[in-house]
Amino acid sequence: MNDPAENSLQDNGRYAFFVGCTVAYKLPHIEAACRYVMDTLALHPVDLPFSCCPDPNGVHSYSAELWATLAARNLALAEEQVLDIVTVCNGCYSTLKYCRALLKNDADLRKRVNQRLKTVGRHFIGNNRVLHFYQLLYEHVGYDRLQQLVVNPLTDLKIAVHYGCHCLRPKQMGPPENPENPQWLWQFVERVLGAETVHYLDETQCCGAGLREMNREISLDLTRRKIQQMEEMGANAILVPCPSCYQQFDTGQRLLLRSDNKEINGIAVFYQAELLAIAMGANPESIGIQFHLIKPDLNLLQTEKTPPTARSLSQG
Amino acid sequence: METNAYKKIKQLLNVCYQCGTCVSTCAAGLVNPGKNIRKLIQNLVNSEKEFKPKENDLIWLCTTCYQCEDRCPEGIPLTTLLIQLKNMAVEEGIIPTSIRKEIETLTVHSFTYPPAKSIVSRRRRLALPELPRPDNSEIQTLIKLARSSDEATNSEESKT
Repeated sequence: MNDPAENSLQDNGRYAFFVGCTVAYKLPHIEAACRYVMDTLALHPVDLPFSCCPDPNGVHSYSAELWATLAARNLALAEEQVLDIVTVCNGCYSTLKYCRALLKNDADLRKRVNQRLKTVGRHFIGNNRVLHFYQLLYEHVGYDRLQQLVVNPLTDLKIAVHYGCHCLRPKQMGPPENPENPQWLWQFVERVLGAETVHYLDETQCCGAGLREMNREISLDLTRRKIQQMEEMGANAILVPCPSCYQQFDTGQRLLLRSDNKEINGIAVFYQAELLAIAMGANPESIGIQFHLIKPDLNLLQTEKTPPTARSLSQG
Repeated sequence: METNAYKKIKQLLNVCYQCGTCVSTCAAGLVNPGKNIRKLIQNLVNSEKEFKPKENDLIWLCTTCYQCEDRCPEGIPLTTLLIQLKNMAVEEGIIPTSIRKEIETLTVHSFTYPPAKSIVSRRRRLALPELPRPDNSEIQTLIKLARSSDEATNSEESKT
């Protein structure tokens, strides 16, 4: 893990907050949880007029040139303010980080893109960093500090983690650990949340979101497969660092549960910051837990908080 | 007609020795055996010089999970190549409905999900700030410039 003293983000605590289309205009309760966590950590998100990242699947498949151009504008916007970017979505993270590397390494592409940006008065250099919200927690704040801020350990949860493809692969994206055997989310579950981790076979497999619009059947078959494995291992919650995966598990499970051949019972899914906020003492209603389609069992989230001291005494 | 872009893709695919790691690791292939990326590569390597998107529509059944790309023992950047092939199909006017709609929404709203009224009011209930919106004309200018460059590259290659 990085030494927090070494990074500028810890020094000034300000960064460009890249909310992204899915969270801003589909799942704003995820944004509420992220802002609650940042507020608790005394970090300051700066809102800028970003567009869609754009989508690393649909828009990239349509035109790589367009994909890199709009990503460069978003990167330039943060750079104008001398800010690093924090994204809350695997897709936005993948697009911005990947395009930043492409643009820095390919002088011809950079030249073409900057010619276009010039017509709208912008310029890409690429001196700022792109961070994922999970990285902010894992590499910059650190689990030890997070653990100290937990007043409501989630000891009743048996959590299956799902990383999501775009924060693991391709390997040049530089995930903090081997993409075939990542550790950082289940360690978060155990060390920070105080919950139990439930490991399952396809932990690093795709959730199916990438084919949601293109081929609903394949997309939901992948979701069902993962849910079945999590249920077999006794999970009562899923933790994801990506709103697109969240949407796939939440909306996707509802579709599966309403189908004739459902083959699953349903497990509530949470974005990483939602469980952290609740563990830090947030009222689940105030961060929009009621907007989940697969309704979580609020008793498992220990909404009637026991003071940590009394809890440790009773456990001791 | 063989474009430079397709020539480069085929050069990268030529080192494939058909081990099948890609097909055994493919997310879509896991639940749909019809999505056989190894066979797709075989077809491309053995095909004529021209890329025929309609004969290779398996390219669209990709979740972009990048497992084939990361695990290919020959280091072929398969997911990236599939995306390049999709870009080539788009240039020929073959655009799946979902992608066409996504680009339309992006062009009109600068987002792939337009801000629905119900969500905007939900944002208020959650005490979230109103996010600064990009200037749509700025985004439209960039989309237009990037697309005309795609067309220019394409017509240049057609001449060669």
